[in-house]
Amino acid sequence: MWKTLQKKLRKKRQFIWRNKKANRYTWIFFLLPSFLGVSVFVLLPFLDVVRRSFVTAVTQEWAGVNNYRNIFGNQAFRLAIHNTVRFTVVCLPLLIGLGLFFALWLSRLKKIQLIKSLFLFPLAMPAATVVLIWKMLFSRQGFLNAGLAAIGLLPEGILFDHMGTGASFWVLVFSYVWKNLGYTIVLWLAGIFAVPDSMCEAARVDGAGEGQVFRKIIFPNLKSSLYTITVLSFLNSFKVFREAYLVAGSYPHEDMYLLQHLFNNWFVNLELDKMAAAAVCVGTVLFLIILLLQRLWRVEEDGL
Amino acid sequence: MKILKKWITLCITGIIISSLAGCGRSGEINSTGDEKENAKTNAETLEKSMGRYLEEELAVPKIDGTPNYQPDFYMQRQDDGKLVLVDRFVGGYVSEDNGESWEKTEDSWDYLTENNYIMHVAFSPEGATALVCSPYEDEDESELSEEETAGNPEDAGGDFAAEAQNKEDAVEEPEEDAESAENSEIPLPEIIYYYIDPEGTVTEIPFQGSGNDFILHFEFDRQGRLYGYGTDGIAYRIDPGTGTAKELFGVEGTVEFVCFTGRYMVACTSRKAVVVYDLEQEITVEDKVLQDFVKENAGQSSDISDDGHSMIATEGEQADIIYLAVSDGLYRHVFGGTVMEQIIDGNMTMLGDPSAELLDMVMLPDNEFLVLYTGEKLCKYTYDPNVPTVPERQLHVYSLVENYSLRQAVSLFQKEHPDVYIRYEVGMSGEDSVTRDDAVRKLNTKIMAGEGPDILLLDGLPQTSYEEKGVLMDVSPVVDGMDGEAKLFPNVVDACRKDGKIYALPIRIQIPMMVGKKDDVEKIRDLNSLVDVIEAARAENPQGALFGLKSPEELLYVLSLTSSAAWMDEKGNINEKALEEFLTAADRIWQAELSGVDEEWLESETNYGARFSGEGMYYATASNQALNTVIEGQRIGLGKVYRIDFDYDTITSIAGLEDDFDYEVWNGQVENGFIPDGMAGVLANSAEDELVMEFYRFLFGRKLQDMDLSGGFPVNMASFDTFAVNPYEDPGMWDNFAGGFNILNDNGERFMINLIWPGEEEFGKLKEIVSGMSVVGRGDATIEEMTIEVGAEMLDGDMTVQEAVQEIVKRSAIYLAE
Repeated sequence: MWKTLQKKLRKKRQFIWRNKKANRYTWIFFLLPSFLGVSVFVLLPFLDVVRRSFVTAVTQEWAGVNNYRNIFGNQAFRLAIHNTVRFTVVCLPLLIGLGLFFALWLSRLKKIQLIKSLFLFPLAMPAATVVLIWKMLFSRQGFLNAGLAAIGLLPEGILFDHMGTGASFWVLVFSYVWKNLGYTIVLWLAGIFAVPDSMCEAARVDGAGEGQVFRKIIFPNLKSSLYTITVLSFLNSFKVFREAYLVAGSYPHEDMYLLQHLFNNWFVNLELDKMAAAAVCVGTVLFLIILLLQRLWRVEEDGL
Repeated sequence: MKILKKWITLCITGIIISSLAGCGRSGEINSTGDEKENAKTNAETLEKSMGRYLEEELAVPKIDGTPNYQPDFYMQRQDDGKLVLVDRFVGGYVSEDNGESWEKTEDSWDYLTENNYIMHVAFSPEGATALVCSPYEDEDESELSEEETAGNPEDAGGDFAAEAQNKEDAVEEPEEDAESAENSEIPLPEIIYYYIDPEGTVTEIPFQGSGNDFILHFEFDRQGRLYGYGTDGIAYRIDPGTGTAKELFGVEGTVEFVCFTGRYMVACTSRKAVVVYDLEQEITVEDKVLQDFVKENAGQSSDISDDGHSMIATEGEQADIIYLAVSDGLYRHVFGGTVMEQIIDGNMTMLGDPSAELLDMVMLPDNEFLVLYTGEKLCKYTYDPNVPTVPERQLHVYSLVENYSLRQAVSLFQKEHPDVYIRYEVGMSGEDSVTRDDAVRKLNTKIMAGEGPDILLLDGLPQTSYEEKGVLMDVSPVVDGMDGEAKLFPNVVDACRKDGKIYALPIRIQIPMMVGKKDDVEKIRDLNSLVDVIEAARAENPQGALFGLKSPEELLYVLSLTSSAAWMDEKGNINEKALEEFLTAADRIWQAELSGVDEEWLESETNYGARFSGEGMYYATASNQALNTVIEGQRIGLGKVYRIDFDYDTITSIAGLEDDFDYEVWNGQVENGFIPDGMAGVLANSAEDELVMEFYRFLFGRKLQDMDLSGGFPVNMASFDTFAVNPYEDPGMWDNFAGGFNILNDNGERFMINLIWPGEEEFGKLKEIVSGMSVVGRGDATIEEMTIEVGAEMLDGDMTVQEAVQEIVKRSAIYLAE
């Protein structure tokens, strides 16, 4: 009987061990389809780009770090980086700040649900329509010049093509903020409404002012929204290239010249080696920034 | 519940798996579900696809008559199965063996030609005839006068000389002419319509059009009913006896080509549209698939044209089937169906030959086709199931925009090599919204993927990048080996050489030329001397156009033709001094021009070339400028010369008639620069392919280069010499007659200019100019575009010359830095 029992126990142990072994690798099968998809469409192409950054464009001969040396010495690349960073540094805080401001204000309204969908309207507007509006406003015969002349800010007979001057950068900023503000407001509102009203009420009962309520209760609870909005806004900032390209073509005013212009032109001129090197650099920087943001958020959350 | 979840999971899994199963090669799924049939279909698909139509050229009847006349034939199948070929001047021919041989018929309308100009003739299936005629006037205006046929070139120019000398008299013409001239209308001749029944009885059709409109052409349906199509775009059914007409429908433009099936009338218009008319129900019916097809494939044509068509059609084997022929191929369509089925690929036949326009088509028994082309070509298409659908040997050629010379080369080469399939890819068709950047990116992607073309035309492409990256092959060994009949102009070849290598050669070249008064032409040596002459001319003539160009962009474009190459230095930087010189010259010329003309003139369309320019396109031909010096009183003209026929011969003819007119090569900031058209290069990947190199040599061989193509003059020396001979030689006309112009300007003055083919001296001068060209006149296209854009703003007064130069330098800095 003892032997039978041992035999049964052994079989049971073997069964459990096999199941555990099986369970140890089950996760692979769940992950495999997504991983394959991401590998084929994202990872492998990126690795190929890294490879191309070390070889010549067409003949695929080894070039070492020459491509990297070329791009860092390339005036156009430096200009594009400068403009893109400048654009991001100006637009992101502006968009996030304005979005939060309007979201807070709108959150006090009672019938906000009815007009929420209207906020997404600018985002849905086609780029070509936006470009037409730009031209109507900012071209030499546009409404802006007419308005400035009407109030005497423009000398008679002098007409500026605002897209051909340094003002083009601010037109780009305006377009980006206008297009993404509604979307940002919606995201902020979702975060604000997720903050329990009871906490705010309790704070007010305890004598906290609105500023204190915002600083101590609402804002700390919005950090996850802040992370999401920051990343999304950052990615959306690259999409402003569409309007810039439609208005000013491949070679716009230098203040509007972004990384995408450079990549587009390099692609047209078959400068794929430089393009790959630049892409690797930009990708690495973005990756590091997002990691840094993540780390900062995690430190703050742990700190809380 | 758990069991239900399991079943749902299983069903979803099954759906996903079955949807993935759809991603297979065609032919692997057979709707019949029969296993054997599936296997057979798989085997058939995997084997090479066989069967296609083969083209055979048949003999067109030899025409007796004027050697230079090209018959505008119309072909029809009679009720008795015979084929009839009819031209209004040379008469009719009949074939009883499906086009293999033809016999002349007696033409029932012969006697009408004595007193009438036959504008159109139509045949019914039973043998009746309908004609549109214009009776000759008493003074024989339609015939050449004795002096004109005497072979005396001086007298040939006499009309023009008389007009030019008596301009004042021309201005004081009788009132009715002045009125019609004011309305820009040429007085219309009288039109008479005749009907001849199968027995030969001739009656006049008492049809009256409204106002100045008249019937352009008649057609008969399969039942012998008569239809007329007017200049007003209206289609009528006409009773030939009474002349009563029933309006069926109206179109924009005119009805250019008509085809009748047993049930429908299909009318193709001159505006890329089609009307389908149901003959039984007597209503127009909509066929969206057909309409979309016509819109996409038919070419736009002039409302009144004697030439061929861009689309023709014939009835099919049933009343609701039609076959349409376009340059892309022959298509079959069932009315109301959703498909246009291509049964003949135009690329492999004369259908795709741009020099052969379509005239008519009939369907023969056994699904064979006869297609008639301009140039007296008749082709029979027969299906052969034993030849591969697509030839095994293939060649891929590419150009950013449609290039006529390359299209012609593809067609000719295809004809000589029926076992080769040439795929001609055009990056920007102009019919869609594809931009230049889109097209180039797509091309670059294909090149990097190893699927690029074998041969490409580098016009509009980043040629310098391709050269530097090793995309292009060095063709100098091939080009340097071309001698004898294949020898190219060495100066043109050397101009394209870079560090001893040749990456691309132009298939054709254009010459920049200036025309105008003798003294002026003598003084102009470069851009600065041109400015001096213009300013001096303005001082002499305070009013009137000097240069005749209507916009700043057009002026800058014309001046840049042989100047833009000077705007970059050897290191690849902007040559600011050259740019400033160019813009200063343009500014001075523009100011001189503006000071003597008014706003109205600037906006008017008296410039002959401007009438045909599209947005961003500048006609800029020297021959049009030459005409303007005569017709509009323009002082100087600049433009391109790209052929002899109705181009260089216009300039030489005017020079022969006008004492104070001359022409010379135009040197801007670049001396002896030519304008290349169709820079052909070979991809390095295709260097080993003998077929590719054979086609490349063909591009510069006699067969293509001998042709009179619109892209420019041939680069093959022997071919160039063939243009010394007048192709319109006609013993009935005076020596070297080559056509003429009859122009009415906006002031009511009529100018008739008879063109004389260049003689030995004139042709020698042209050859000397071509042989002296040593540089590619045009520079970087992007810099040129920026200069024209900024320069136009400068000429509009928005900035000074120095500011414009700085702006261009700033804009191009990014481009050059990249």
